[in-house]
Amino acid sequence: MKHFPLLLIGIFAVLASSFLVFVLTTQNQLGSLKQSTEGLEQNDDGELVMIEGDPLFPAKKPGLADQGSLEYIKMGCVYCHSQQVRRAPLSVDIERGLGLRVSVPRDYILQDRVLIGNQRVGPDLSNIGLRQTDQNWHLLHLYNPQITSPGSLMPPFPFLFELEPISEATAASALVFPEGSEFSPEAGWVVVPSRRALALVEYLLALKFDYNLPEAIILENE
Amino acid sequence: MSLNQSADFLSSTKPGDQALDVVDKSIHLSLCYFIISGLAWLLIGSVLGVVGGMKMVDPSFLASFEFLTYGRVQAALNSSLMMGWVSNIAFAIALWIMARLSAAPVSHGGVLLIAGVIWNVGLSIGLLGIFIGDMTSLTWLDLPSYTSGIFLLSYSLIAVWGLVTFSNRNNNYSFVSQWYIIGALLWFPWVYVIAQFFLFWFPVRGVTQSIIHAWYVNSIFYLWIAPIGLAAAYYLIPKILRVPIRAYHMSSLAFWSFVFFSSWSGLFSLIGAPVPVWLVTVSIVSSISLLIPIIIYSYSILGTLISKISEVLKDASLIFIAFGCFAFIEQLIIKVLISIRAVDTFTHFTLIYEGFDWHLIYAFFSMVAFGVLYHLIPQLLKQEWASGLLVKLHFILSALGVSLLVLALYIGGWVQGMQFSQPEVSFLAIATDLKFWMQLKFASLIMLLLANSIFVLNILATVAQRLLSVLPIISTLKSNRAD
Ligand code: HEC
Repeated sequence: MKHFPLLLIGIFAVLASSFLVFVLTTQNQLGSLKQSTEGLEQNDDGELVMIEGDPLFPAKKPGLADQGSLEYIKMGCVYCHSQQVRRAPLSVDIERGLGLRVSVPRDYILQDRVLIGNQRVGPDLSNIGLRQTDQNWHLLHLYNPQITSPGSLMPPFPFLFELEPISEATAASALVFPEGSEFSPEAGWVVVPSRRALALVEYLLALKFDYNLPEAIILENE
Repeated sequence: MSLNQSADFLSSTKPGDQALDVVDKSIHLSLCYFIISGLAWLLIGSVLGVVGGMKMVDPSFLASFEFLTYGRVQAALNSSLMMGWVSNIAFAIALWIMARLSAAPVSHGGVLLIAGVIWNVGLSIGLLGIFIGDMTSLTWLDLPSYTSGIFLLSYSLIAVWGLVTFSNRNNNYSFVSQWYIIGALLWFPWVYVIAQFFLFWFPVRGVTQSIIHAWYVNSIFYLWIAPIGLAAAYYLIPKILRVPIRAYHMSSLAFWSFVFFSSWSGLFSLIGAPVPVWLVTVSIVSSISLLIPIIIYSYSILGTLISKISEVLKDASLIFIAFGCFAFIEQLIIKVLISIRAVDTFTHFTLIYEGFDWHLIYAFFSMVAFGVLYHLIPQLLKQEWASGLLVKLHFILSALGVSLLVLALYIGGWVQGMQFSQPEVSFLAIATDLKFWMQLKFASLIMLLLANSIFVLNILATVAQRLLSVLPIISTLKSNRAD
C-alpha cells in the first residue's frame, strides 16, 4: 500500500459499513417498538390498530422483581442460562416445554438490561415462572441446587441466606426443607432468605411470556 | 536430548543475530512494561481459569464466598485475558513491529509507559468491581462501565503517541504486517466506544443491545486480536526462515477480504434469536465468504511453514507461531461451519462457543504471542534463555493443554447439542453428562497454569542470569570509582 490515505479509508469503510448495517439499521427498525395489545383490529381506513381498552403487553414487572433482575446480573446467572425461546426447526424449545411460543423483539422492550444469554449449561429461564411456581422450591434451589436437583452443576448461593435461631418471627419466612434432607439446618435453627434472595425469586416467578402479541401468538394444542 | 539440539532449538531466539534485532532504546522500557503486565494478567487469568474450572467439576468448591461465585470468576477470567494479557501483549507486539519496520527512531516512549500504567490501573479497578458484583452481564464486555473512561484515557495517550510518532515518518506502509497493526489500533477504540456508548452511556432498549453486543464481541475478536496475531506471523515467519511468505502478492486480497467479511459476520451467534432474520442472514453469508481469506492464508502462511517444516520444528519461536497459525485456520473453518443454520441446530447454546473463544484467544493468539516473546525477550535482556528444557516443556504443556481444552469443549458441546434436540432428555441429565467434559476441561486448565508458570520461571531465571552477568561489571565500575 503505497498510498497511506487509501489504507486509512479502507480501514474506515470496513467498520463503518458493518456499523451502519448492524447498529444503526437495527436501532431504526427496533427502536420504535412499543407495547401492544394482544390482538389488532381494522380501523375505518382499513389499517390494523391496537384494540382500545385492552391491556398492553409486555407488561411492567413489579418493583421487587425489578430488583431481582439486578441480583440476577450480580450473581452471573447469565453465564449459564439463556432467556429466549427459539423457533422450530432450529430448536425443539417448544416441544421441550421451554415456552408457549417463540420470543420476539417486542418481548424485551421494557428490560433495562437484556439477558437473552448465549449459554445453556442450565435450562432456558424465559418461562420459568410458568414451569416452576413454588417460591419455596426456588429458594431451596438457590440455597443449594443439590436439594431439589441432585447432581446439578449449578452453584449454590448460601450467602443469600441467613442461619437464624428458630423463633416465631423467623419460622414464618424460613425455608421448608424436604423431610430428612441432609441439607436441613440443625434442630433449633432455620434458614431465612435475605431480601436479595426474595427479590431474585420474585423475578424468576415473573419470567413468563404467557401473553399473545400480534406477531407471536400462542397456538393452543389441546 | 543433547545440549547441541537444544542450542539449535533456541537459535532464532538468541540476542543480536542481526543488527536489526537491536531493539530501540526508546521503546525498551515500554516494551518491558507491557510484557511484564501481560504476563502478570496471564498468570492471574490462569489461576481464575482453574478456579472456575474446578467449580464446574464440584459446584460446592468455594461456594460460600460470594465474590467467587461462578459468574464472577468467569467475568474476571474473561477480562484478565482480554484486557490484561491479550491487550498488553498486543500493544507490545504492535509497538515492536511498527518500530522495527519504520525507519526512524521512536520517540516519546514515556507517554506509552504512562498510558500502560493507566490501563492496568483501570483493569485492576474493574476486576475488583467484578468481584463485588458490578459486572455488566455481557460476555467479553464484563468490566463495569465506570472503568471505560480510564481505558479511553489510556488509549487516547497511546493514539496520540502513535499519531505523533508515525506521522513524521516516511508514510510508505508497504508491509502487510503494518496494515494489520494500523487497522487493529484504529478499530479497537472505535468498536469499544460504540459499544460503551450504545450499551451503557445512552443504552438502547431491547434486543438491539444483544445485536450490538454480538457485533462488539465479533469485532474485538477479528478486528483486534486476530490482526495483531497475523501481523506477528507475517513479520516473524519470513524473518526467521529467511524466505518470503508464499504468494505474498495475494496478501492484500487476504487482508481486505478477511477484515471485511469478518466484520460483517458478527451476528452469526444470534441465529434463531429474537432479532431481525435478515441481519443474521447477512452475517451467515459473510461468514461463509471467509473461505476466500481462509484459502489464501492456508496457501501462503501455512504453505510457507509446511515447506520449511523441519526448520520450523527446530525453532522455539516458530514452533509456537506455527501452532498458532494452524489454530487460526481451524478456528475460521469452525466459524464457517457453525454459522450454517443446519449445524447451528446442534451447536447453539452449547460449550462449542466457549471452545471457539478459547481457540482464537489461546490456541491462536496466545501461542503466536509466546512465539514472539521467545524471540523478543532475549533481545531485550541481551541474554540467552536460561533453560532450553523449560522452553520445550512450556511448548508441550501449552500445546497439549489448549488442544485438550478446545477438544473437550467441542466434543462435550456436540454431545450436549445432540441432547438438546431430544426433548425427552432433561436439562439435569444433560448437565450431569457434561461432568466428564468438565473434568477434562479442568485438567487442561491445570496444564495451562503449569505451562505459564514454567514460562514465567524461565523468564525470571533468564533475568537472574543477566543480572549475575552485569553485576560484576557494575561492582568493578563502583570499586574503580571508589579508588
Ligand atoms: C454454572 C452454571 C449455572 C449458574 C451460574 C446458574 N445456574 Fe441455574 N441451573 C444450572 C443447571 C445445570 C440447572 C439444571 C439443574 C438444576 O435444576 O439445578 C439449573 C437450573 C436452574 C433453575 C431451574 C430451571 C428448571 O427448569 O427447573 C433455575 C430457576 C435456575 N437454575 C436459576 C438460576 C439463577 C437465578 C441463577 C443465578 C443466581 C443461576 N441459575 C445460576 C446451572 C447454572
